[in-house]
Amino acid sequence: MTLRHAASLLILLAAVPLLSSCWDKTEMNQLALVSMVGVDSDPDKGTIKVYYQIINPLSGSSTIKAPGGEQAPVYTYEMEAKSFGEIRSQIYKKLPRKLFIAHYKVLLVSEQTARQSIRDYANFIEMQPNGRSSIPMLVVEGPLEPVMKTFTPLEKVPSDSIRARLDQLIQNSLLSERNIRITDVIERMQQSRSIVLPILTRIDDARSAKSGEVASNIDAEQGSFIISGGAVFQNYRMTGRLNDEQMIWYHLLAGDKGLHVRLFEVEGKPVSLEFHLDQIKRKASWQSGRPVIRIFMDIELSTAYTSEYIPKSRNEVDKMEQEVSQAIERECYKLYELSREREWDLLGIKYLLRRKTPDHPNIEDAEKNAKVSIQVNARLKKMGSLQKPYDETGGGS
Amino acid sequence: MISRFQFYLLTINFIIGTTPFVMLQGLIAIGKQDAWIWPLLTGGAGVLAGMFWLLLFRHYPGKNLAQIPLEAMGRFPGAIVSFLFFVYFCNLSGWILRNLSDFLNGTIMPATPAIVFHIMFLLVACYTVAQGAECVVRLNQIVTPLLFFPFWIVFLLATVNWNWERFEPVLHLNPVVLFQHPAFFGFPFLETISLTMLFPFVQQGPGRPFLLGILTAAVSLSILVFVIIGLLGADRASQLTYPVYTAIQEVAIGEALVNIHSVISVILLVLIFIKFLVLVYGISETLQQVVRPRTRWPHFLSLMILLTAIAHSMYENPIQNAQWSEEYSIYYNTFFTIVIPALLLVATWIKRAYQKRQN
Repeated sequence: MTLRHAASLLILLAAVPLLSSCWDKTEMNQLALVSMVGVDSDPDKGTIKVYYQIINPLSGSSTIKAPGGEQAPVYTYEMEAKSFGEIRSQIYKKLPRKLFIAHYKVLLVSEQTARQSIRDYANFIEMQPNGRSSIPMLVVEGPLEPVMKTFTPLEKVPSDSIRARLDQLIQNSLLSERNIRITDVIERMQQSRSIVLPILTRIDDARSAKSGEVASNIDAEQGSFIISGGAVFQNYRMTGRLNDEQMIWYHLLAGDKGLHVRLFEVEGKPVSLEFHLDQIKRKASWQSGRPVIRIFMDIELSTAYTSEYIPKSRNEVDKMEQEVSQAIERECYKLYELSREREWDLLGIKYLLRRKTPDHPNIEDAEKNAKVSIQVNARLKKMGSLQKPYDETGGGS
Repeated sequence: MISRFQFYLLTINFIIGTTPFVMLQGLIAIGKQDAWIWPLLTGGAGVLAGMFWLLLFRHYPGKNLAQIPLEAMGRFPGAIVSFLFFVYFCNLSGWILRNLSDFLNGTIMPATPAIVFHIMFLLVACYTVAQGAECVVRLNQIVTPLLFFPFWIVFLLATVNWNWERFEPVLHLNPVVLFQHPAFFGFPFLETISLTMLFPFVQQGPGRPFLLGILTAAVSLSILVFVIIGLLGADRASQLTYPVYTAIQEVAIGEALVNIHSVISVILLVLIFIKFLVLVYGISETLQQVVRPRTRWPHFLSLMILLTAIAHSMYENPIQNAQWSEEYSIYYNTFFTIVIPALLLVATWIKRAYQKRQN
C-alpha cells in the first residue's frame, strides 16, 4: 500500500511541470502584441518589407504621461528581408519582445505589391501556426509606410479604427462587406473567382509623428486616411479598381444587406432614399446552348432620410418604386457590362455556372456568351418621422 | 465487467481518436465537396471487417485476441502470432504518440521537446492500464460527455463562417476516384481490431455494441468532414495541416470569444489518450498471455522505454508519414487485421474438423 502511495505521489509530481506548459510558457509582459501587419515589396532590390504595429502596453486609460506629451498607443517596427521566413529571425534585431501575432486585426498590402501578386503573402499568413487568417485585408493606395505610421483620432489604435470603420460601413452603407478576410481571398482565388478589397487612401501628407498632437488637433482629417473604393483581385493579382458608386452595386449584387442612402431621381426630381436588399435569387438555365442567368432582387426602400419629396398617394408610391427599381437595374447592368469588358466576373457568373452545371465542357466560353437579366423589385416599406417635408410657404399665405 | 453501453462508447472514441488529425485533409483533397460520403463507405467496410472478426471470436467465447492464437495453433506457434499482434499494437501506439507530439509542437507548444509529451502520456497510460480494463472503460465513460458537448458546441459557434455554396455541385464525384485511394479503408476502421482485446469483459456479448460503435463513429466522422467543408471549403481544407484546428481558430464571436480553439486541442488530446489506453492495454495483455510474468511493473517500465523510442523513430517528418499512410498503410493494416485473423480462422476450422474426425 505504501508503495502504491509513493508511486502515485511520484506520478503527480511528474505531472507538475506540465502545468506551466513546459518550455512554452510566456509571460504577458514578454509579448509584443501585434495589432496590424503591413506588407510591401521592393521589386528593385527584390526584398520584402513587413511592418508590425505593436500595441504599447503602457498606453490606454491609465496613461502614464511621457515628458513630451501622451504616449504613443502603438509602435511600428519595420523589417526588410529577402523572404518572410527570414523576417521572423531578423525582427529580433529591433524587437525586444516575443512577436505575438495571434490577435492582429488588419492586414494591409501596398497597391504596388498587390498589382504584382499577393499569393506569397496569403501563403505566409496561412502558414503561421498562431496567426489567424480570418481578418480583413485592405489595399493601401500609394506608399505603405506613412499609413503604417499614422495615428488615428477617437480610436487610438489604428487597427481598431479601421475595423470599426469597416463595421460601420457594413451596417450603414454598401461600401464594404464582411467577406474581405484573407480566408475569403484565398478561397475565391482558388476557385478562380474575383474579389474586391477596400482601399485605404491617405487624405494629405501633413501627418504628425506624435500621438498627443493628433489627440489635441481639432481637425480629425489632417494626416488621416479614409476607406474609399475597391481593388479588384483576380488570380492573386490586383487587376483594377472600382469607385465608390460601383462598390455599391457590386455589394448589392453580392447579396450584402447594408442600409445605404443614395440620391435617386424620381419624376425628374432628386430624392435621397435609404434602401437595403431583402433577398436575392440567382437562377441559371440553358437556352439553345447559351446560359441564361436571371437575378431577382427584392429591395426595401425607406424615406427616413428623405428631405426632398415624400409620395402622398398610392399612385405616387408606385411611380417612385418603379423608377427606383429601374434606376437600380440600370446601374447593375452598367456594372455587369464593366465586369464583362474587363473580364472580371464580379457577379460570380462563372462560379454560378460551375456549381449548377458542373459537366459543361467549356464554362469560360459559356460565361462570355451568357445572357444576364437583372430584375429589381423595390418596395417602399418604411417612413421617417416626417410625413411630408415642409414646403416653401411663398411669403406666409 | 464492462457494460454494452460502455463498450459502445469506447469503440466510438477509439475510432475517432487520431482521425481528425491525420485523415481529414487527404480525404477532402480526394473527395472535394463530396468527401463526407467517404467515411460512410469506409465505415461500412469497417462493419464488414468487424463481422469477420466476430466470426472468429464466436469460436472462442471469453478469449481475447492474444489468447486465440495460443489456443488455435498451440503454445509455440501461437506465441509467435500473438507476438506479431504485440508488434502491431506497439507500432500503432508509437504512431499515436508521434501524431500527438507533432500536433502539439505544430500548434500550441512549439518549443517543448516531443519526448516530454511521450513520457507524460505513457506514465499516465501505464498507470491506468495497470488498474485493469474496467478502469480504461470507466474513464472513457466519464470523459465522453465532457468531450461530446464542448466539441459540437464549439462547432455550432463556428457556424458563423458556414456557407452552403461550398457543397455545390452536390454529389458530383466519380466514385472510381475513391477506390483508387484504398488507404482510408485501412485507417481508422481496421485498427479497431485492438478493441477485441476487451471482448471477454463485455457482458452479454460484444458483437452488437462493437458494430454499432463502428457505425456511429463512421457517421460522426462523416458529419465532421461535412462541417469542415462547410466551414473552410474543400479548397482550403485540403491544404491545411490541421483543418479541424484551423476551422475553430477562425471563429470570432464578437470581441470577447476569440480563442476557443484551445477547447478543441484539449478534446483531441483526450480522444487520442483513449485510443492510446486501449492499445497499451492490448500490449500489456499480450505480454501477459505470452510470457505470464509474476510481476508486471518491469514490463511497464520497459514498455515506456520501447514506446518512446518507437514514437521517436517512427518517421522523420510528417511528409514520410503522409506518404506511408497513402501508399503502404493499407497493406500493413490488412496483413495484421485481415490476413492473420483469416489464418487463425482456417487453423480453427482445420482443428475442429480434425477433432470431429477423432471423435
